[in-house]
Amino acid sequence: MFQSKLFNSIGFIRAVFLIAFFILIFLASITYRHIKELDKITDSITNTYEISIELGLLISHIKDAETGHRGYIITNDSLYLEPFINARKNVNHSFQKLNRITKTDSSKQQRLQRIYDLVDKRFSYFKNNFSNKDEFNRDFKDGKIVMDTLRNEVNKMLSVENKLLNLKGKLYKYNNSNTPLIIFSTFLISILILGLGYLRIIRNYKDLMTQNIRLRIFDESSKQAEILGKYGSWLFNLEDKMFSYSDNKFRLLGCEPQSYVPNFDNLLDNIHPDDKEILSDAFDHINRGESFPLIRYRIIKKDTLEVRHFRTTAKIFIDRLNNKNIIGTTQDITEDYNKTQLIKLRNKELEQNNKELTEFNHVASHDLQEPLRKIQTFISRIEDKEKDNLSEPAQGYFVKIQEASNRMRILIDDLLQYSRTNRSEKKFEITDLNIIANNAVSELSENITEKKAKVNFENLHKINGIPFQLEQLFINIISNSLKYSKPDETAIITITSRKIKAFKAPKLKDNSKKEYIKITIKDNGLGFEQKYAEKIFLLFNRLYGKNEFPGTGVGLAICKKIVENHKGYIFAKGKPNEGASFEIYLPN
Amino acid sequence: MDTRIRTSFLFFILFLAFGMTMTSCYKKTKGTENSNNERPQQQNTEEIEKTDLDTKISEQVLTQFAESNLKIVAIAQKAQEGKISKRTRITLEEVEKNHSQLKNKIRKIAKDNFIIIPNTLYDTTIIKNFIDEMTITLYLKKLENSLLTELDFYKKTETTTHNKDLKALIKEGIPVINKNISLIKEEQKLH
Repeated sequence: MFQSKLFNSIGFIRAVFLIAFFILIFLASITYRHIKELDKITDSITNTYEISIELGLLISHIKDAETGHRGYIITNDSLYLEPFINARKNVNHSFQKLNRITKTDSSKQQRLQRIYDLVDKRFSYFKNNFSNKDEFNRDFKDGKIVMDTLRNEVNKMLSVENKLLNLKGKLYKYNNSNTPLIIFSTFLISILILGLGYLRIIRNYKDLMTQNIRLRIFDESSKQAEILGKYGSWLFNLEDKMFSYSDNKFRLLGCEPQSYVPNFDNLLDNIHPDDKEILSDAFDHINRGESFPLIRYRIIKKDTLEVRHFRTTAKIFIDRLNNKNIIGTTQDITEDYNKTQLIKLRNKELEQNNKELTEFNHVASHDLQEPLRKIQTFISRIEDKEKDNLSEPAQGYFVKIQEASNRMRILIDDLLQYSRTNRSEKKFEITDLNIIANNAVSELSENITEKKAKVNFENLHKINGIPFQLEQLFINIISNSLKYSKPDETAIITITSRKIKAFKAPKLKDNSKKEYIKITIKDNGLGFEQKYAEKIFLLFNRLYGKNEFPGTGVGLAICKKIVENHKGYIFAKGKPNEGASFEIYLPN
Repeated sequence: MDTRIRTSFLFFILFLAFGMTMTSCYKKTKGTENSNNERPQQQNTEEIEKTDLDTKISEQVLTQFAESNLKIVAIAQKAQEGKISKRTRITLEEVEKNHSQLKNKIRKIAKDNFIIIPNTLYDTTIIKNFIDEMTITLYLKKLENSLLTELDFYKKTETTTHNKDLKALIKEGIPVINKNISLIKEEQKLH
């Protein structure tokens, strides 16, 4: 990942290009230097050749001068002077050339100076007349000595030049052998770099094209999404203070796409007069270097003059060119806003209804108790004083009235209790389930003793709950187990608890790792058909007739209500004649 | 980093690399040449050649200077061989001496420029013609003509040459020639 990022970065490509560029310059310099060096060696060799040739010519011209001079001396014919004078001119020409060639070399200049002196001396012996034979012979002899010395000096210089020639020849040969290799290497590396650069550019170009296509697809899809989602995007350049709106942003404002140039001056044109400050404040946040807040405001659409509700959020974005922009999204939330307002209204109505219903339930239960109490009072008076005066059928009717009034009292009590479960204050605290179970057993001790039942529990957990409701929960379930116990068998009720993660209990339909305390209350009573497992928790619902087992069908409904108050779950499991089991999941 | 700074930095690096490469090339070439003294610097040679074109002394011009000088000396010497007055002899010796000094200066320039100039006057036709006549008046006349010709040649060369040695020679030579001319002219008045 890191490598891919590195190799695809513009900086890397630029660095490779620069390195390649410098390599090419370096190679070009080496090649240039090498060729230049060869050129200089060639020049030097030519120079050496020229010196050698010119020295040879010099000697030859002096010989010509000698010949001309002798001819003139012997014949005294001025005809012979012409070759002599020409030879002198040629000697001068040779000296000029040698002087020019050796001008920059002081040692050669010194040698040339010596040669010049000898030549000049030699020419001084070329006289046109001699006083006597002895002078002629002496001059002739001295001239020969000078000529020999001159030859010797020229030979020395030629020898030095020949040595140089050999040396330069070797150097030239060596450099010449390397030239093709260097030029070939330069071209090879250049072609290699060019090839690599070409491949890299083609690959990048292809990538660019692919990205371009993707970007276009994304752009189109984004435009469609904006229309469907009723939102528009915008960009604000913090340097030139100019906006750029998407097409749908214009549509949301009731304008044709790109129909005007948005800027800071016309930003507030469509905003509802009461909400202009909200938008101004949001941009002030940016100016203070803070983040753009989520804002809600109203606008007046340009085309329909309809008031619409907008929600806007934005964030600062700095691009690769170091431009500081704000990228924002504005959504038309008018429909959501209207729906929310409706829901709020309905909730308020519902709360009012619930309140009225609870009040009614409470008041009704209390008001019903008063006439019932009177009925029961008079029933007991009749039973005490007038029962014997009643006919036999009347006494039967009287018993039924008595039973009905008792049932009604129980029903009213249960209803009051159910009502209290909803209305009472929900004060959560850490509650030890062992204490709760103990309290419940104490409360039901008479019944337990009567049924000769056994309630087993130990090491129950502590939970965060409403103590008195939890106690009611335990009492209701244990009393339910006692009620439906087998008459010929000792009722055994077992209470256990354990911690469990939500995802390990499929019944909860919650895959989170939320922790629950699972409380299981199991009995060996009459049990029930599993198909009634949910029905038993409904209000006033009973599985058996009221003559078989007395009851109102409110107890388990209260249990469910209590568990719901604790944001928990309750499930029942049963099998006829094999007992029932209640599983309660309460959040830990 | 700002784009402008980045671009400037890039160009700076580029310029530096280019400069370093060029410098290394130059140094290398220079080093090679220094280590090989036999090889003349082509650049220097070119410069010298260019300068030479402007200031070079023509072998022909210098030879003419030398021959003219030798001729005057020869005439002066030849004139002294006959019977002449003491004053005339002194004048001729003065002319000979002055031109001999001029001859040394010409030889110095010739040596500096590797030019072989004649040491002897080979063309003696003019002198031979005079031998028969042997009159001092004619010698003086011939000497005056030769001096005037030489003066004319000096003046012409002064306008054409760019060589400072030659210019210096001419500058020194013209007064000498003028002086000799005036000496000869005075001597001619007496004859």
